Amino acid sequence: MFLAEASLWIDSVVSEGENCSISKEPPIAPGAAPVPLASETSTLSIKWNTTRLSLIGRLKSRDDQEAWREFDRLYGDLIVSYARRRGLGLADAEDLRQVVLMSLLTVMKSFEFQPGRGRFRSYLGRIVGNAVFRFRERPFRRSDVLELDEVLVRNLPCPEEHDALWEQEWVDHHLRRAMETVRRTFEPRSVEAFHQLLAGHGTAEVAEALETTTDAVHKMKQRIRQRLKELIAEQVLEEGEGIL
Amino acid sequence: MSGGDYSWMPGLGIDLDGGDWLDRLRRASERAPLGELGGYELVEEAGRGGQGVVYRARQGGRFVAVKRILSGPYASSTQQRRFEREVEVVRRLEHPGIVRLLDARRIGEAPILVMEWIEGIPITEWAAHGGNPREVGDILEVAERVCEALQYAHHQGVFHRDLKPSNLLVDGTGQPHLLDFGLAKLNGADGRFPGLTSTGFLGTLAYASPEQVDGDIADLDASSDIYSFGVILFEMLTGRNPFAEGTVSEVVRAITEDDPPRPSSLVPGIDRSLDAVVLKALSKDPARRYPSIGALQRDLARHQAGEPVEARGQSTAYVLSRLVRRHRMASALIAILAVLVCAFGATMTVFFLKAQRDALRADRVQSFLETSLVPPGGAAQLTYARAMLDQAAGRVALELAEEPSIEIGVRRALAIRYAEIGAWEQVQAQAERVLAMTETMSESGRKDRMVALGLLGNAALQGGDPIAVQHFQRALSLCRDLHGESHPLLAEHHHWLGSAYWRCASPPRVDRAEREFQIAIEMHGQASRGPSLAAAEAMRSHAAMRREIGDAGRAVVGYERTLEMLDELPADLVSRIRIECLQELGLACMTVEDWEKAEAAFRQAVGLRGGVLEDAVPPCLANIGTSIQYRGEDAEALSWLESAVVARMELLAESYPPGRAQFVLLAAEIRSHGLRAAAIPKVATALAEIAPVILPLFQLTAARIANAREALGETDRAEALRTALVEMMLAHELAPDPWGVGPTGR
Repeated sequence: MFLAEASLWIDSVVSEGENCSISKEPPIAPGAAPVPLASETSTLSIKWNTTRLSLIGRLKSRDDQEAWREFDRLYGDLIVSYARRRGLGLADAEDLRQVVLMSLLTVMKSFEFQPGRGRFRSYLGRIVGNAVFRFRERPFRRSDVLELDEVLVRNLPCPEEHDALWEQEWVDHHLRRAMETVRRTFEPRSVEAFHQLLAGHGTAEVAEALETTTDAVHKMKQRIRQRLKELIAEQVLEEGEGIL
Repeated sequence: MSGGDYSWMPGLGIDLDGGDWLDRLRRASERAPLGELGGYELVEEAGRGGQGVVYRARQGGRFVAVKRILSGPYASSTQQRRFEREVEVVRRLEHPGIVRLLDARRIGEAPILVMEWIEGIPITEWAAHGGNPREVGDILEVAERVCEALQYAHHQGVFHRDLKPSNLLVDGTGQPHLLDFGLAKLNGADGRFPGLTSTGFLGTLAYASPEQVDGDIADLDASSDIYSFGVILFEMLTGRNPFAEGTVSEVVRAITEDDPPRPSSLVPGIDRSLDAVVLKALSKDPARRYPSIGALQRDLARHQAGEPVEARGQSTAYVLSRLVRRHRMASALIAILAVLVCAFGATMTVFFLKAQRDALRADRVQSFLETSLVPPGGAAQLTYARAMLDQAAGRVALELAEEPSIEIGVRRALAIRYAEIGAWEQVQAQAERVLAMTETMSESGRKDRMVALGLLGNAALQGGDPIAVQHFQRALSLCRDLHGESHPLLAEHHHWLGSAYWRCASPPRVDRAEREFQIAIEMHGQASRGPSLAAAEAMRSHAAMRREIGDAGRAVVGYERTLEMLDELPADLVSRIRIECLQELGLACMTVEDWEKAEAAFRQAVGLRGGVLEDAVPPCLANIGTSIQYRGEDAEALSWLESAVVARMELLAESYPPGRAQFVLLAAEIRSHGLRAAAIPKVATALAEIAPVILPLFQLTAARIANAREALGETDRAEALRTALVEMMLAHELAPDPWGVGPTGR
């Protein structure tokens, strides 16, 4: 049939999911608000930073392909990592990443997302947690999208027991990202020294190996630690966590 | 951000005491092993794009690249077979410049492709050499090797279709390696350009050819590869991509409309003949590019050897200046003629023949042509062509005022070219001037007059102006005098006159139109040795008239004959008229209640689209559904009708920006749950001010969906749909038609 030939991305009938009536305040308000056009700035406002839209905010602009690529690059890894910890194989986890991203792509462009402290983290966590839950019942076809209710996190069974795992993965994700930035931006020598510290070598040992003083290694360690703190704060900010 | 209070982020661990924060960081850095895929031990993720993920993997003692394709339709057995067929072709490629495909199969739903692992860097990165760009000579040497590899593959009938720097790696020895050869098709890009809706599209888009940007990937051939490699070559030489700046839509516009800058304008050391080579490869019009990658390679070699390049021969100004200097007038004019035939076709050549009589003025004509009518990047793009023609038109009166015979030729050429781009007002202006100027001339002006009248007639035909009849009558009589009784051009005039009788005369003169069409068809049959587009067009006009006057039975016969003739013509030439004919045939079949034939026609029309007539898809799908419904197959009809609604939503998402997001959502929702009553008001809201145009169409399909639901026993759902439809139509002050009776009773 024609539709199967058309190579559409979001192209499948998804079976009715289970509905349960745990009423929780939905983290995003569906519906009414019109989608901003490319020419307008997004209606999303970030209270603490008016000069720059957060990544999540940029996702709402339909032309911002770069933002989606960035989002996939950053959060795709978190999704895969979490799904694998929940026991999915690499290939399945990758498919799940695809399904979650495509579903988000559909919804983010159309709904008003109101960021607030902790909201994006738990929102994404619930979508992914639920997708894993559903995947276990019946593996996705790669062309599936989640149901609207699932992406809007309405009327969902809540996989509470997995929250802790998600939180841990989320933290790991931010630590890894910050570490990656440090690797790219610090002197190779400092990075090398820090790697050795990470691998469990003592300060004195590292100083000797790199022919420097323990004091220098110690200072470098503190500098990287401070930078990691800053980077993580920035990352989390950009995610829309908010600082009170 | 420094020195802040991080207590609000407990658990991130960087604030832990002693060595604990390092432990936390270490734990986060430890990743689970990737495991294996299809028997290959995955070592690391090496890259990720819109279509898939590439892993570096180990197999025995060597590394291989394993690509897992994420997108694409591989579910059905047909698609699976096609995948295998493509793989077979690609596997046969054996060339030092082409990365071997070692294995390809499906694991679960996802195809994997296993290739040699190449330790190399993208070719543009290689050329940039970390801010210390390589010598032009070295770059061209590598470029020639790429050409060799491409040429080898093209000779095997395999095209790359997705050339970009990340697919073109240069290893430590300076040997380029082409990756993913011929895999664009396998990479889930069977329909539209790959990844149009996926992330990571921009990187690929920057190297896409104009025809690729808005076309069907299945039709891409060598010239698209030549173009993409031209972009890469441009970037290797200048350090920047000629088009990739801005948003997706800006880049698309730049690719299809903007002329790339000359590389030498960015890098002073590059000489003009290399400019010419690169720009020829980057021509918007495939016909103006190198005929093969081998020709590009030869030109690169010529440039390296300091010989004149073929590309500069393309530029009329270049050839003319050289030839005129060398051979003086007589032989120059013959050469100029040859160039003109290539560059402008017969029209300008005829005009030039006139100029030849007055050899003294040839240089003026030449300079006029060079500065006004030489399209640097090919005149395929409408806006560019339009601007170019306007510029030329503005100069004619000023610069050719003293040369009426030349002015006539130029205006005639302008009118024809305006007609090619559908600028009918300008056609009329130029043609009227030609007519006025030739009025006083006897013999010599007859052909110009005939052409001018034909053009005026066509301009009037476009506007439904009854004067078209007179123009065509006069043109026809001139044509008969000039060409005799059975010339194809005369047949064409009869066809035009028939159309004018039917479309413009008030009231329509069906009898006269019928006669003219008959003559045209008969004359085409005698005059041309085989089928021609002009003949098919005449047959189609005839059939269309019959359908519109209610003689659907004979219309069906006419369309079928037209389609038979179209079958014998080159497919790319006739794709548009073919789709239109199939649609009209389908409608005629519905009128005579031949549901099977109608369904077949619409199915063919949908199968033939290819970016040409996207707006034809929803009605075709709806008509397939309706045809099936009238045969009593409600379940199948339902799925087609709902597909039609989905396709309509998707088309609207593309073409009506204010409602874009709502339509994307609606399409997804309807695909998942079918058309529900709750969706109806959303459609109307999303349509906003264009509602009155689309709603009647939408209502028709939606009502038929309700009919199908009812026939399938879902009475409540059908009723809810109908109620919502009636409310929607009344709210917009339109006529409700909840039973899908349709304007013609069907």
